[in-house]
Amino acid sequence: MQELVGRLTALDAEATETIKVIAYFDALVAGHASTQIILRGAAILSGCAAGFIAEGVGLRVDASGVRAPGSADNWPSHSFGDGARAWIEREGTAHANDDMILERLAIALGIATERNSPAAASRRALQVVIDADSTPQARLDAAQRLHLAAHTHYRVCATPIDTVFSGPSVVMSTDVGPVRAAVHTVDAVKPTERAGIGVRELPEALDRSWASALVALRLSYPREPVVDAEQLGAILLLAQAADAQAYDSPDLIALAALVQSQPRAAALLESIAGAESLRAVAVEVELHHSTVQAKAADFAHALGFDLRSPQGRVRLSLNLALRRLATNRFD
Amino acid sequence: MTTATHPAPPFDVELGAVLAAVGEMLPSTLTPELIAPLRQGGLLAPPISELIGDRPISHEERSIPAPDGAPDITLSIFSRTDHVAGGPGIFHTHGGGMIIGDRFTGADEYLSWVMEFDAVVVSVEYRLAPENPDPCPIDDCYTGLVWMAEHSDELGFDADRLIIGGASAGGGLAAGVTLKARDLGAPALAGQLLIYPMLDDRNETVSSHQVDGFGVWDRGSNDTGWDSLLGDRRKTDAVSIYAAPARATDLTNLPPTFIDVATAEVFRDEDVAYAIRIWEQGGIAELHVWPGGFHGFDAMAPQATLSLQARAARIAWLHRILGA
Repeated sequence: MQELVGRLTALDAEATETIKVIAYFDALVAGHASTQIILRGAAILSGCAAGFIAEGVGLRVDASGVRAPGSADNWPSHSFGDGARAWIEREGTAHANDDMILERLAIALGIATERNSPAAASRRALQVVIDADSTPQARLDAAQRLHLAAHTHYRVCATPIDTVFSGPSVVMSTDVGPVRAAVHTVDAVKPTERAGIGVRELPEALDRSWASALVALRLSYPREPVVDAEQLGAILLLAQAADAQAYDSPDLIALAALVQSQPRAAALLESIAGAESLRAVAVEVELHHSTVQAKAADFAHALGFDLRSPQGRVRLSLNLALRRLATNRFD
Repeated sequence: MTTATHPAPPFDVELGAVLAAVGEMLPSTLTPELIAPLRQGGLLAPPISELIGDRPISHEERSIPAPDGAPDITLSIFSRTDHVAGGPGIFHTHGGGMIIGDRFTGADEYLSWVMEFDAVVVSVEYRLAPENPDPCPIDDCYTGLVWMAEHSDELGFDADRLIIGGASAGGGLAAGVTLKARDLGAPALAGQLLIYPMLDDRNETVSSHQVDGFGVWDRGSNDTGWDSLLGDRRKTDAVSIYAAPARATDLTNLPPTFIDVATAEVFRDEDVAYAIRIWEQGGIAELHVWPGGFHGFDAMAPQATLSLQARAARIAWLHRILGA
């Protein structure tokens, strides 16, 4: 029959058959084909073994589409998803359709793994749980899928995206760039790298925990890489208020101008705000005490208030925090 | 009279993708004016020597006389180069809707039977419709089968293990020849392998209405094929059971039968009905219905999961029937 109906076998080495390749993989994706079927398609079209590895799990088929073990080695490959890779085992010169097959294979696998993997399902559920726009019922359903107990408090952690978590995490796109979110029980929160830890909440209100975690992360900086929202006190309220309205105070404008003209002023100001005395500051930043005194006087003049009085230190601390909130980015 | 109130079952995702990639080249509906171009297109198929490749298979051409002034019939005979006499014989009737194809259509599969079973395979070049309407095709096939059975010693196979088989129109012809052989008392057949056979000129089953305007060999194509074969006799009582085996009411005394068909092709319901009728009359039959296949799916997508399973099922049946 095949002479009459045409046939799908390995594509010609020379002639490009882009439409055939695209049509084939598009149809597989539209039909929710499994990753094995998608791989078999690449194997049949290329006439080579094909494989992929994603989140530590790999699958490979030989040239006739039958499952067989093997690894990526140095075969021609294409990345997809979160660090995943697909390859075809072409020996010798590449054939005309290899690039197209690899590209379409990677796209199809990306869609299929996103659809089918348990990790992807967890990510989607987590996203629903922390999203302020989710309905309470949707949030509860998603929390159940994540096995969160309805009457237990949890805390959301916000971190830069390359932080590694053992449990489910999801990358959220925010106004300050992509940020990774993860949910922890109250005792299990022990991040050591940069992080913002959200206030504790029941699953039905974890969006509030996420919102506070994100604020906390945005307030973090090298001197305080981990910020606990529950320790922020009124600053959390202030930060949320500053977010809610464009806050163009004269203090912040002066601070921005100062830091722009003297980039190293920022670190020194942080030290001045945090230390007991200018002498302590001098020790911390390893400058002469008189140098620090002179600099502090300069800054006070530029900013328009006494940095060393109790109220001045509070004002400086708050201004520095609001500046971090306004300028910290994670992309 | 039946019509389809529901659409056809969906295609298997893998097969559907192949159809999307490859099937666009062929129109779903084969109308009479497409017969000539399609015959031309068949000439572009690789020569039989290329299909054999480097498999150790010998190929011989024979021309045999036909009765009643009919022209000589060409047979292609295949066997392993290291063939040991006394194995099975398979008489192959090719597909092509009664109007296209040749004795090498389907060679890919029957050559694998040569290798698997050390079988002698004979494929017959029967006359095609519409130039040669019924009973030309069935007569040529029957003549070829009789010749093969009578020359079992010369060809080197066991006449008690002679199977007839074919796909699509070839399956219909195989079924028709089997009925004729039963009715005329010869030759003896050990089995009939009917691959999605074309059995019913009436074209009125639910599946024949469902597969209309899409897929492979749709309702319109079936009309073209049957019109070409039967002309004005079509859908009347003047149609013989050898031309349209679905019309046979007596399916007793048939050799063990294998039927396969797909869920999304016009032949689904007539093929299933044929198996049911064999069982109702106490016969031996094996039926496979492949979910999501279209007509000829295993030829278009030989490496798809369902295709591998379909071809393996045929081979498993052959092993059982041939005791090999």
